[in-house]
Amino acid sequence: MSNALAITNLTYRKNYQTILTDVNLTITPGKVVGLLGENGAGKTTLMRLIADLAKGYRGTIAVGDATAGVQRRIAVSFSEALQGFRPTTKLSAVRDFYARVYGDFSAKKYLDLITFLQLDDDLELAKLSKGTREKFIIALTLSREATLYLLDEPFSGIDSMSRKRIISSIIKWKRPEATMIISDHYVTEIAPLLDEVVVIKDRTICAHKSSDAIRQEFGIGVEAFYESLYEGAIQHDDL
Amino acid sequence: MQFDDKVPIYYQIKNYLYHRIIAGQLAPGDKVPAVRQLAVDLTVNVNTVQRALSEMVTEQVLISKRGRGNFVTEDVTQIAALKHHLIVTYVQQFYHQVHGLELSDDEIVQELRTYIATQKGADK
Amino acid sequence: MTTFRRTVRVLWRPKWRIANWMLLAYGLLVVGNLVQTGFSEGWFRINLMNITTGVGVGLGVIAFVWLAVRTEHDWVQDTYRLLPVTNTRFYLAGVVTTVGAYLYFVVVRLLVMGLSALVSGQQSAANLNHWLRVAWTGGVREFGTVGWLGVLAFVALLVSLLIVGAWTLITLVHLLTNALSTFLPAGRQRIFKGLLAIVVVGVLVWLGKWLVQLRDWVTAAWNDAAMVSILGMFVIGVVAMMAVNVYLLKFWVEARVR
Repeated sequence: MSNALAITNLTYRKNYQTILTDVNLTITPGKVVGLLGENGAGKTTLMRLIADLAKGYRGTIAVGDATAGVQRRIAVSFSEALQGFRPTTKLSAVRDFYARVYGDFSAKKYLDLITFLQLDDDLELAKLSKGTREKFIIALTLSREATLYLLDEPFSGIDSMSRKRIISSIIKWKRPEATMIISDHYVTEIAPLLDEVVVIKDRTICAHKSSDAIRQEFGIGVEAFYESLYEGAIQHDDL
Repeated sequence: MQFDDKVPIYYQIKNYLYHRIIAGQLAPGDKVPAVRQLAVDLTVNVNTVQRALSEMVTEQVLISKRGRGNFVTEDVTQIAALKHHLIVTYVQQFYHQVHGLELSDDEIVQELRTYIATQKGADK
Repeated sequence: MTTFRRTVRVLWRPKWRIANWMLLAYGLLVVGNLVQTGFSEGWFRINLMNITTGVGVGLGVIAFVWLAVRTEHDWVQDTYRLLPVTNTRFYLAGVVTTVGAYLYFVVVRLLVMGLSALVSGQQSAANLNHWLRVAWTGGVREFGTVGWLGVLAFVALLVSLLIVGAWTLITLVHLLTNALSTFLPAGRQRIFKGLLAIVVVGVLVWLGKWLVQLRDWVTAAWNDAAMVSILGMFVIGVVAMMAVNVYLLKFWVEARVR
């Protein structure tokens, strides 16, 4: 099989300002990848480009063999914020929506996930706390049998119990051949989860390394590696 | 289990399993928990556990049986060798660290004896 | 890939709700008016048909605007833009559901009016007769070779096309503005948006004039060829705008970032 994700010479400009430039990234199937970078570094933009939500880029984006927008949307499961639903929508109604439009939505997996994440399907979206809402979004995203999962900052601003549950659910329900990209700007708690890390800095990808290789080569943790990249202690040439 | 983020995770998983085998929590011939189960228990990536286990299979500490999972070797000498290897590793670490404090070999042995004696006293 | 049918179903729900809210408002107006007339003029003098046809004239416009707002909202939501469906199908599903919801609203209202006409009986029949007489003496006497039904069909189609065309134009302006704000720098955006505004106003003024001309022309001599060619022109215009909309959705319009 081909790569799970192959991005070549991607450049994206908005209002004539370069957001991402010269991005090249290849990820092999089955990997859990941490996408790290400061707020505003372009993590979300990169994910939105992959998911065909952001347009007008130059370069190519291939998810598996799919390069066309609609084909990528079939292959990718993106943790969207559910803004399209009214606040009074019940979680079960959102599930029905997902089950209706996504052919790869597994009702069984959904049931397992919401049980494990202790979610009450009968509540309304507006009644959820930030952590519960994030758990629900994860449950929906993982319930699809997609080839590439994009989790956009699933851990920002939620309590540590929810975070642990989400991490466990990822380990439990990610199929071995499925690939997952998780963006975050704080990495310590998810470090053991990551096969590889990709660091975005100065509008491009400045590092892409296996996390155990980082520990072995530099004798430092993933968090320390990421920080030293931003502080300039490790130069791009050292990689 | 808490991991040290500075040391490769697969390495720490191997160590964790070594200890369990030597301590007898995983006896010769016992089935090692499934990869996914281990990953969930340790909150680490499945691929990392997979890597640790396959290295242990290569080392012949674990025996992989097709379709049935991984088992602790029944070769007791293999486990004894593993134990010895671990002991040597720890002693090596200890020795190098203390040696760096400009202690003579005799003094090192003496310090160790004293420590063991006080520990035993404290236990009683 | 999501089928067209399923896409229609998920886009239909919120629009159907809007239509129902508008029908509820209509119902409340009818009942309110009924009670008011009952108290002021006496219950026995109530003409149900007068009330059902008389109230809520503005509701059609409100429903039109509300549906337009919802339609435009859907184009730029992650929830919908992520659907694994081609942009053409997605766009058409949006149009079909908007038109469907409006049609539902109109048809239910017409049904209520029709039923109330039955209830009002004689009185209403007299009313209808009166209006027909007015129309007749007003000069609409000859319909050439087309006949009553033909003219009715023409007017209905023309009105439908105008409504659909208006929604399509709104979408076109919205999507263009969206793409301009995303990709052009602030200075040039202002120029292009200004130009866009001038063009839109120009088109609307021209369309208005043209419609007046059209009325004179058509009523002067009812003939099939003229009507068909007019409808044809409208259809081509609407389809062309739709094609541009799909193109914009596919390549230039991004969903709103949360």
